[in-house]
Amino acid sequence: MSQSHRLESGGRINRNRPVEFSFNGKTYSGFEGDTIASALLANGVHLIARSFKYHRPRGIMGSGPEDPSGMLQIGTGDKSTPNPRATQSEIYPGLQAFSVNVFFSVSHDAGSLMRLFSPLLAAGFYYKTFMYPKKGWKFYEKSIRKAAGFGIAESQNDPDRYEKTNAWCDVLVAGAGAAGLAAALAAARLGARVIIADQSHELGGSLLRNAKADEREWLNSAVDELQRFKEVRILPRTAVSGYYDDNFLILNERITDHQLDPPADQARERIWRVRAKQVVLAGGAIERPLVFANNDKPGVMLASAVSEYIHRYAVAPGKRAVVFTNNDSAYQSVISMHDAGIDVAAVVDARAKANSPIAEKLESLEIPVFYSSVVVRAKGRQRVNKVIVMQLSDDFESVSGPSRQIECDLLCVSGGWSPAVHLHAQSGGKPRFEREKACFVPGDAVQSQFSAGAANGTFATHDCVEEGRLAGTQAAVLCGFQSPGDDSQEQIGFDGGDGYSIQPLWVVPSDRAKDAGRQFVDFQNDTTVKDIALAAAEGYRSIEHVKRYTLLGFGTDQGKLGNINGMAILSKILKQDIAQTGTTTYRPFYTPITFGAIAGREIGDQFFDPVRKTALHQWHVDNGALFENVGQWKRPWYYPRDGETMHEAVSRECLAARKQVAMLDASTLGKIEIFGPDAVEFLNCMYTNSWSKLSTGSCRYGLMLGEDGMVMDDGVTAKLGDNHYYMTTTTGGAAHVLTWMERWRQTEWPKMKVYFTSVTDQWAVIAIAGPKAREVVARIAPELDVSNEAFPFMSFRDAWAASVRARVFRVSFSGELSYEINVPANYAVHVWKEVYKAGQEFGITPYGTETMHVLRAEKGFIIVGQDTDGSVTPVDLGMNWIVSKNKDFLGKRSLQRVDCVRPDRKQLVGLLTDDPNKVLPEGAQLVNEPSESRPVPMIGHVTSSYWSATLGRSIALAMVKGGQSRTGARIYSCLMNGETVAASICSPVFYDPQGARQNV
Amino acid sequence: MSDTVQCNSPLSEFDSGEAPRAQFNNVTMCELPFLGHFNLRIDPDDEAAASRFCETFGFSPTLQANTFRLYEDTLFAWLGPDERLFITPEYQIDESRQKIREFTAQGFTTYANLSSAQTIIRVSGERAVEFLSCTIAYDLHPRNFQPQQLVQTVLARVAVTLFNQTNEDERVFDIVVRRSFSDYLWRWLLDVGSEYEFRLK
Repeated sequence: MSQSHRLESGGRINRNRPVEFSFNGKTYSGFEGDTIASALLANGVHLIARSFKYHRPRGIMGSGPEDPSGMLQIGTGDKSTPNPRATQSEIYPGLQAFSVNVFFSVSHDAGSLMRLFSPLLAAGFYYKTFMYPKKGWKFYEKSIRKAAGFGIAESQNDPDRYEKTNAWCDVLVAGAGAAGLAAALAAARLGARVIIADQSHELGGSLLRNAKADEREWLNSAVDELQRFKEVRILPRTAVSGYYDDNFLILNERITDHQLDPPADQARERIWRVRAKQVVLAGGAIERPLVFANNDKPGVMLASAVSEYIHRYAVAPGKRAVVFTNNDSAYQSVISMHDAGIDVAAVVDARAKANSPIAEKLESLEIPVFYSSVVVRAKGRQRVNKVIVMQLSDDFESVSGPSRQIECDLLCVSGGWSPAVHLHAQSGGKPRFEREKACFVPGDAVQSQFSAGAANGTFATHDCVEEGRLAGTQAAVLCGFQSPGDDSQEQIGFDGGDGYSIQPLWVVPSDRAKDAGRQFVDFQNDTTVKDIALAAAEGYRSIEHVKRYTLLGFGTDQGKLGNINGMAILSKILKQDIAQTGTTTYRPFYTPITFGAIAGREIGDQFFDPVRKTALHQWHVDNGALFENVGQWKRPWYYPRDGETMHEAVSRECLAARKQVAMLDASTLGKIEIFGPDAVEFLNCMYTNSWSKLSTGSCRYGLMLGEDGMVMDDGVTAKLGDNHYYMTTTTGGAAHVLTWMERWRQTEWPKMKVYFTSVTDQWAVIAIAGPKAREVVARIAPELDVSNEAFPFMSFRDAWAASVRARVFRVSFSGELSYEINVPANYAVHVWKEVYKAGQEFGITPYGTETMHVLRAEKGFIIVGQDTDGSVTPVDLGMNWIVSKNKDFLGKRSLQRVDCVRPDRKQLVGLLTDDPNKVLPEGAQLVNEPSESRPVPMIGHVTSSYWSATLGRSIALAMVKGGQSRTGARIYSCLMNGETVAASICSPVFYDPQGARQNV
Repeated sequence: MSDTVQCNSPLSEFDSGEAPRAQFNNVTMCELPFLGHFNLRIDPDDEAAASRFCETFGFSPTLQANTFRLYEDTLFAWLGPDERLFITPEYQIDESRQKIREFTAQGFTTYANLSSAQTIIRVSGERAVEFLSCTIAYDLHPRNFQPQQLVQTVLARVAVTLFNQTNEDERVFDIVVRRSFSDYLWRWLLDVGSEYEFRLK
């Protein structure tokens, strides 16, 4: 297929590799190295988008991240991506791209009817119009959202992989144009570790669009040399996107977006988390458009973009061009176009005279230059076909006739250059306005940072290289590398180039008042001069407010083209200095990043959060366990047998524990070894009860409070020997308890001689509970005397269990006769299997956390975090017996607070529903009298609730106001489904209140 | 009761005959299972304990912060001002434990056997630094992290201690990780590796 606008020769495309792709269903041909934008222009396609609000036809205006309109939907199905920029997306064979925000087609867009209403749709229209009736918004919103907005986010799972990586360097260089390359090279030569990143797939920046031969030579040798340094990492296709405190930066590398079928395991994007000692910002500058009527028509392009399409992509974006400028830089594009065979019909310069030496040459090329003139408006339906030129007054405030009409299909505009100060601003810097160059340049660096080249307001290539070198050298020297001395740098090899002069023209005056509504400032958001004027008229003064009222500077381009013009226009209206208006806040990211890249690997069940497994995990899996998340742990929940429901399985497991014997993997309990002469004193401080009289070989239950007197953790602690204890904590509280203890020891009681070591992972714990537990333990540990006399409740013994050195505890969380065999986790599977084997005769049944919960609830044993919520004291739990009156402990003082001794505090009680088959939902609110007038006072809530197979009825634990003195009282729960369940308050101990079973 | 005692390393699930291992063209990772890990607590100001230590072990307990030394096959590491770690080969576990137990029988010193509590994932090869950088927020470049240094940091959201065991021939990093987190970390690293065309051997 012929490419009507492709130049015969030149460009950096690979003509040997033609690439076919489709746009809006039609097939086009380009070359490897093309972007979608350059390939479409090569095929004479200008119209590629419709605007946000008015659905005006839009074309390609720029050649990089600044292009406001050329956002496309790329790819199909689950790989469809909304809104990559045509100017930054490389083509590949088979690529499919579509216009966004169009109804029907981009050339016949039904949405363009909106333009008929455009006089009504100025800033604030939606706020003002859709306020009434109040409830109406939810109906309006749907239609408005559909009409506005770009691209469609795919609802299927994203099949791509996204990676993150960390990187460190002495010098990070953002941007690989002349200044960036020079900086990287200078730093690398001194031995610094350098990372240089550029959004483009090719290094060179603006040198790729209009370099002279000697500049090109410099570029090639610089890239060549840079690649040879071992400590230099070059990252093409990588945007430096975010700049945070401490010179921490986020880079976004696009790895496979230019490939149709990348290898399955290859990441699509990679986030680089870079910690740099020094940063050189060399991201170049962005050319500004000029603000005149219909300046948004397809065919209106930035002069620099036209140069880039000609030189880099060998594309002539038009046949007959008009150049409209207020500065010298656009003259270079005139020559480029002339050389490329584009008929330059005229140059319209707002200034009285140009400084560029090129201007003088134009006469000989028969290109007319109209000084003190402006393009007041462009004409043409879906593409510019003529421009209206008028004479500009000396003060730039008005135009006068006669108007001249010039036919053209391309209008190159240049309103001057805006250095890319975004990263500087993100780093905390305040850009300052430089009047002479009519642009904001970086202010003082607030982090270890330099700006160089066009990003710093230095526009000539020679000066950029010089400034880059200096920045790179200084950055490296600040990192501790040896300064090279003054005369070590070789000559740059090309001269200083032409100067840059500009006369600011923020808005082109027009002979027609209504033109203001068509003078676009922010192209992506359809913000016009009229909108800004309206905002100012309605009293908005701050640029931040005007931004929010008019949308100026929002969107995926973050106003890269429009911002500065908008600020200047507002300043003019408010009759204040631009510096006074200032810029809006530039925030990360510089260019959009996909959500996939942000999420990286931390998605799904596998990697979102660490998954902790016990040594017995695989056995549980093999034996059909379902798992419950407890903190980060996976714990067996219950083990359903063929076709069993959860209810059936849990009932079976409970009955096995009560009538025979059952076994539980209790390895997740936190375990801390405590050693030192002050260990017992420390325990006395931590726990509410006294530890002074605990003898070696014995265990004791303890309750730990926060400073506020509220229950924080609980567990059994054993005395292993003199000054040596073994503490267990709740599964979820282990890390916190260790931190808590270390904090007190290290910061409050540094003189206490006591050490803590976490041994949670060392010991696997196999709990064996049930009337037959003793027989099972006797078999597994034949040398251990398991009689009640030799091995009483709340004691432990060291023993050999299944030929493994073990520590056997006789403790119980089920109320049954129970042992917990602790073995080094490497032997857990072995011992577990042996216990399982030894228990077969008694029908030993593995049980999970659900059964554990039921068993303990039957006994009224609390679970910290389930029955307590950080606002519960031991007294509230009816556990006064464990609170010592004779010693001090953490939280003791708080227990005396007036609020802590109120009689109507919520207190732990048991609940028995009138209907024994009714299991209350946990969290259900409780009331005294449901028929009371509303709001019915809530007097408590259910904390634990189960079906008890042992008791043949439901049981529940609850926190009820003053509950401990209300035994027998009736109470009600009003459920979500409207049902009211009656229950009576009882003791929280439902089973074996004397505790006889665990003491046998 | 069976006569043999089955012993499972934390990563034995990934075991296929020999120790768990995965390879990619320039990175290898494997578990170093069944080593002796002993956490030792010793008061840095207790000179008597220090000299008793020297007598028992033949080397000083004093170490620069975040460094380790190798004494024949035993690794001795600084974990905190009053905390050290011994890592001993399997054949020396009993002997080491005996010595450590004897040493800690006196004074304000104690130890905890962590041989089942943690394991080592060894990552080695030319691209080991790049591989680990995917998830570590500490700079492993030789200019910053030298052999015989260690860092206590976070890898894939998991607290680990990373030992730089690099020798003249090869980049080697040993990750000491808690048992319960090791499966998660291993899978994470495998997934990172698959992007590097990782192949499970």
